[in-house]
Amino acid sequence: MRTTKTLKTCLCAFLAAFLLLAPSFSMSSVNSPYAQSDENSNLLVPDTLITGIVKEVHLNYENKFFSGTYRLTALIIVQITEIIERPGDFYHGEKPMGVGDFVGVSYNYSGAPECRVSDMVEVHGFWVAPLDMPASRTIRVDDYAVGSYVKTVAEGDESGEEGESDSSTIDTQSEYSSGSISHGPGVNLWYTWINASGTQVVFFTYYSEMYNSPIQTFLGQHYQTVNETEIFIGNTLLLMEAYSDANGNGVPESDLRTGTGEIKYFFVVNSSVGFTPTPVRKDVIENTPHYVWSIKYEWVDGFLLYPQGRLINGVETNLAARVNITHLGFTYEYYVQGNISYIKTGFNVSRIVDFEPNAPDVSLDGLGLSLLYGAVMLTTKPYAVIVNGEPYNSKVAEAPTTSTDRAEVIIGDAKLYEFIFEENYTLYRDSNAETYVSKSAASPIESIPPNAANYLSPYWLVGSLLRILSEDVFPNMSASLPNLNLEYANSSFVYRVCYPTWESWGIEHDPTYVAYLVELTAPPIGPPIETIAAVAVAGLFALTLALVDLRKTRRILKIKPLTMRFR
Amino acid sequence: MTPRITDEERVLSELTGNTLLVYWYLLKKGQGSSGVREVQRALSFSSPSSACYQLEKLRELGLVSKDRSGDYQVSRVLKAGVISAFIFLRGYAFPKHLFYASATSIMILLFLTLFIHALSLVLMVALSPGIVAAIIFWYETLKVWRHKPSRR
Repeated sequence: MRTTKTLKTCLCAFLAAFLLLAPSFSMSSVNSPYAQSDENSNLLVPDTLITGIVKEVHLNYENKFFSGTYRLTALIIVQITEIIERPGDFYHGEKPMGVGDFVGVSYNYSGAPECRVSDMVEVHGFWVAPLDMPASRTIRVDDYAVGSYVKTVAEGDESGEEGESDSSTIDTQSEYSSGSISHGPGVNLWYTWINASGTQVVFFTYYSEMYNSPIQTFLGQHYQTVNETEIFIGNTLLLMEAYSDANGNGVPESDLRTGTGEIKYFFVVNSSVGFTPTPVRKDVIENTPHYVWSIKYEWVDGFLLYPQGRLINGVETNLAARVNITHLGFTYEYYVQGNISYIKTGFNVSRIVDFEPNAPDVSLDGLGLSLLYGAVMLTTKPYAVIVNGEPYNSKVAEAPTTSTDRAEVIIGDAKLYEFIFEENYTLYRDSNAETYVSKSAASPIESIPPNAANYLSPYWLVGSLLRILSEDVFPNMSASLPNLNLEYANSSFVYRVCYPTWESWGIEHDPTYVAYLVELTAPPIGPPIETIAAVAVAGLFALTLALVDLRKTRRILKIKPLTMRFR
Repeated sequence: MTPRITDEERVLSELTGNTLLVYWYLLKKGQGSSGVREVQRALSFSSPSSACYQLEKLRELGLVSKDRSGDYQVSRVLKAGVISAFIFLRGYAFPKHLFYASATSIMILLFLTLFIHALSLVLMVALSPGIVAAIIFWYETLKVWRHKPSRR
């Protein structure tokens, strides 16, 4: 029943999107030429060169993981102003493309396109025009079209254009707020903002009212700490993994040299039918403000993907199974005690339902669930990540995994930030709640299979929001923040939070992030009221004395010196 | 009806010019006694007899006494007129307001130094009477100082 409803909803969303978008640019469907697969690896020669004005820039997350190998980042809609070079089939339907027509540019890079809405751009790419799908015709710009590019020729006037991604922004002067920011056609950012006790916390997630909402969250915190060091730390859930804990250490190892390891499947959540945010509220508990907010994705479709492709029914694919979960929730509680701030996060995933295996041997029996997180850090002074008392860098670490219950970020001898992982988690097996100990591990980048990058979150979208915030909130870091690389491969700290007992059942867990703030961030301590009162009374007494003496002195000085005769 | 003139007023009316200067000199000197020649040199009188005349005049007014060696010292301090606005200490005369002005100013500066980082409107309001008092005290100090007896 529920599956039928979901399918209907998906179908409606698909049709609505098609009707809305097809007249001007191609639709993001599974057969779409800009849903490029890795198998389509023949090098292409760019044959189209146009200039035009960018009308829309948006994500194509629909069917992003359909076959487990697609990799989409952006679709740019350009209104042609000049055609410099064109192939013979540069047609839309029966009509040749001309000046004033709209054309879709399939932009398939890991980084964000530099152009913005209303910019004048030059596009050089490969024209893809399948005869049977006129709506899918696009100019392909990616690594396979050698020498292809989208170059901004002139920046446009950003004001008054429709479809701007940053038409509204966060009121950074407010103590706390939640709201939505338009981020392109059909895509919005839901945010929570907290500016309290000298720290700023920002949370983003994507949602859509037009499509099923993508699953993408980002939590960042900015503050000043010892020696006037400014720090920004962000965390995001990159990927979930189902693993077989063969060695019993509770965390997954992956051996990329042999292509084997404990990770059996990537558990990729694609999109959700329902998205329910709960705006931030302020609860005062024992004189301490607690800021609480949450989001919940309902009826989430996803995939189990093999880490390496394999032949199934004569077709090489990564797809192991299609799955659904009834909900995926994240809760957050932020508060400051003394000069320490805490972010208690709550992770809540339902059991897997609607398990549709793509091969007969796909099973989650006996498997654990691992959440792969990436942390991005930006500090005004060099920092180090300490795991088990030793410096750790995910980019250079050689050990596959390092089990730990916490990790610290330090500058010099000062501890700035702490990840506290190992706590109990609750497993919901049918209606029974069972408690287990979670495990965690610092992980090297190389422990992530290379093709996992296809399923990881496109960080750059969050990066653009951080750049907006930087002007108001991160004045000392604003010079370097635009260069912040949010790609997972650039993260110096990748970690896994692991639930060794899972077997597709529901899980609840609450890891904590702790930030150590500088005492100066507290409001300056003024004199006690008694001192202020004493100063005021003493001043009044002195003033009275001065006024009395003033009269006395005047009387003295009005007399001719020492004669008692008035002048 | 002519107002009744007290003894102090009569003395004050006689205490003018060089007579006042000699008395001022002896007041600054404090408990020590001074001879005629010392006064003549200190106040640059043209002759010892001028100094002697003034000292004798002060003695007749009952303000100084003469010891067996012929030296003079203050026997009565007048607490009237501009003299009352000064304090005599170790050979110097200080306006009384100088002490009030200094005390008030130190209090304000100390407070500002300690709580400059937490300066607020409330603190400024609390400090304002003291600041006004300090300004008045310094003004009075300057004014009294200018009226100090001196040779013109």
